[in-house]
Amino acid sequence: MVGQLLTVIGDEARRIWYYRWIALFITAVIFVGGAIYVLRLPNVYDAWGQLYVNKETPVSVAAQGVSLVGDNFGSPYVVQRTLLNDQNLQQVIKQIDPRAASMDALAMARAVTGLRGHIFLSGDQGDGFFELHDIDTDPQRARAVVQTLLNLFISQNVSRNRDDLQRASTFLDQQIADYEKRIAALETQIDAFRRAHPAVVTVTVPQSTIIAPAAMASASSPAAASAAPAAPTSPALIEAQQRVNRLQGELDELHLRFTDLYPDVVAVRRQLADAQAARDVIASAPPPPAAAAAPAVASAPPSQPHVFARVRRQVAASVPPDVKAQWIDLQHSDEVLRAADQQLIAKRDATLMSIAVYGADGAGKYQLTRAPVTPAFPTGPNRVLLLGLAAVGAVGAGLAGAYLRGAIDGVFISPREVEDAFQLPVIGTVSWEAAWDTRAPRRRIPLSGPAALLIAFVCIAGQVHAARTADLVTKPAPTGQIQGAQA
Amino acid sequence: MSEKTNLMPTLVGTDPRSLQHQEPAAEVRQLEMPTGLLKHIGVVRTPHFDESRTREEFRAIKRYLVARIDSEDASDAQNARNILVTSAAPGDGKTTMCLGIAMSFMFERDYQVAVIDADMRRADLSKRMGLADELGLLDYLENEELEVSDIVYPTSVKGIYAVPAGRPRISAPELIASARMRELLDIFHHSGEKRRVVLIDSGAVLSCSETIELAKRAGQIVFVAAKGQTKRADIDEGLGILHRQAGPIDGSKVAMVFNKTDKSQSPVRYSALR
Repeated sequence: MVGQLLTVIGDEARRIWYYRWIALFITAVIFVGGAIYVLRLPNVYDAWGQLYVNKETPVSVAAQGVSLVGDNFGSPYVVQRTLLNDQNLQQVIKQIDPRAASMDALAMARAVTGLRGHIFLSGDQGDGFFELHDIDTDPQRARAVVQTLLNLFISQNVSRNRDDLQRASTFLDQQIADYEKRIAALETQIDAFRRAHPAVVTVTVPQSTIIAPAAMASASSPAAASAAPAAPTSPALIEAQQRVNRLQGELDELHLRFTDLYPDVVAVRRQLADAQAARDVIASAPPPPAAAAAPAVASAPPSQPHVFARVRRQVAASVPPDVKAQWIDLQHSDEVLRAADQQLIAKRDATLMSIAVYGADGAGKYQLTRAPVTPAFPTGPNRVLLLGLAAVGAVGAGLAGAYLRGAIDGVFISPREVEDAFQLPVIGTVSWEAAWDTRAPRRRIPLSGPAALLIAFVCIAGQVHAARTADLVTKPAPTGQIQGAQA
Repeated sequence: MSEKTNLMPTLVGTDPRSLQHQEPAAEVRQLEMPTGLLKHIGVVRTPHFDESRTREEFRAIKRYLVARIDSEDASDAQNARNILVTSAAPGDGKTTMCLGIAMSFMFERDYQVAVIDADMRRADLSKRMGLADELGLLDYLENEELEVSDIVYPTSVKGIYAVPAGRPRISAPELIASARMRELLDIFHHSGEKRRVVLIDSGAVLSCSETIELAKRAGQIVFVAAKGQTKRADIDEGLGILHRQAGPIDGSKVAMVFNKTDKSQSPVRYSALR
């Protein structure tokens, strides 16, 4: 198997080698073209600026947990999406390109796309620093782009944050006012219901909703006044009732955000049932003998809560079921409205705190830590790498061209191919040896002639020089000439 | 007799009887030429020519042809001794192949070889042997007054004789197809003591119609394909023409030789430079 594979590889290599001049030609053409292209590529410059987005201002630390501004506010994704939108880029183009005024929509769209192509934002590593890079052939333009974008980003985000927080505050104020109206209406409704059904005050679900109405009812209704002391006074019962109330509040709060199937809701509901069962057990415990015989609830002292509880149960048992259900529903609605109102108030406080943090000038949020400067040295292109890639590509193209030429010509490279093609015996091969009429003898550069002439010239020149030197040394000059020369 | 010792043939030995009476001394003297016979005959000439390997390559081809001759009975053996060397297209190395096989036969004790240049388009064999202007095959076929001895030239190589193409004629295909051509082949086979092999260097199938006629009379056809040069479509077409017009083409009649290969593709891989 390996042998066959090697045979095939060898045959194909021979096929390519046979057309090596084509491969060489293609390689040379492509490499020369690629090299010219690479060498003519303009230098590119990387202008960049650094921005610091502070997520931990002192006030924001204090507002942690109640602030509306999330952790993603300064993330690279958000910054990139808000910074490199079409509107910002168009503004940049209008500021740096004098031809922008005469651009139509299509040209502007092209310019925006082109500008976005060479701007990139290096991400935040958790420290809040962002780097905005612009790679351009013109270093001045690159610096201007970065500078303009950073200015736009800071100014827009500061104003945007202030506006957003202001809108949120206004919305929350409206919501709080609305909820207060609804609470007031519901209280009126509860008062009316209590007046219509004085006995319902003994039917109490949460502790927090029963005390205040009972106090109000005691002032208006004698029957209610007689029922007010029926509130549990035993410490154990009070504690159990408080636990029930607390769990009910938690459940109502969870209902605002989650469904009944949410695990937290299920868990709280189960805890609430247990707490109610425990409270009922405490409430049904036998009272002390001195208090058990006293039926008059009005005269019972507050230190005997079991008496009031028993009386309350007796009175509650006399309330019709529909009235009882209506009363519980009213109490529940009141509880929900009050809880929602408390949440809205907390959010409004958080909003006001956020405005205090970011709404003023944004100086604590954004800081330009490195202003873009005009780059002095180009950062690209990497011509060595590109030339290497061009060489590799050229060689590959040359090999492919040679292979294709061999495949197109349909020539044979090995005897095996011939035998397989025609099913005729290949009885032998004859190795290529250039015959006398197929290869012209190499024309050797006739260097011997010029070399001989050069040597002869050097020799003759040397002889002439030696002869002249000998003449000057041996032949005495005429006296007159010497004297003349001296004179 | 000194003329017979020259490298190239002369007109001295035009008598067919001279084929049977050569002087051994002259032949041996030619064989011992230090530069190598193949080089002298013009087959190859390179600075590092491995003559022993090339000789073995031609010898392998020759052995196949001789085995075919020996395996035939008396009637078919004569036909099998007519060996046509052809190819699909010009330039594949037919003449070189023909000369190489012929040179390989010089070592045979029982065979003599007559090399006929039947490539009427190029007559390359005649040019190489210096017989381009001499009387040749076409002259003999056209002029019935000529004898075989007028066109057969002994060479300086033992047992190898040459028949040049002769002066070109437009009626060459018809002359090749004539009965006189058949008679010429019969004369070659029925004269002499040794068995004679007729190597016919013909033109390419796709360029000469006379190759078809020669293929009809040949018992063996050596079809030359050159590496990286001969196109598959040409071989297909050439073999198809031979098959349709010169009888069925199969492995018993046609054998292929792959020419101009690399040394690494040669079956002779362990040769010594001599």
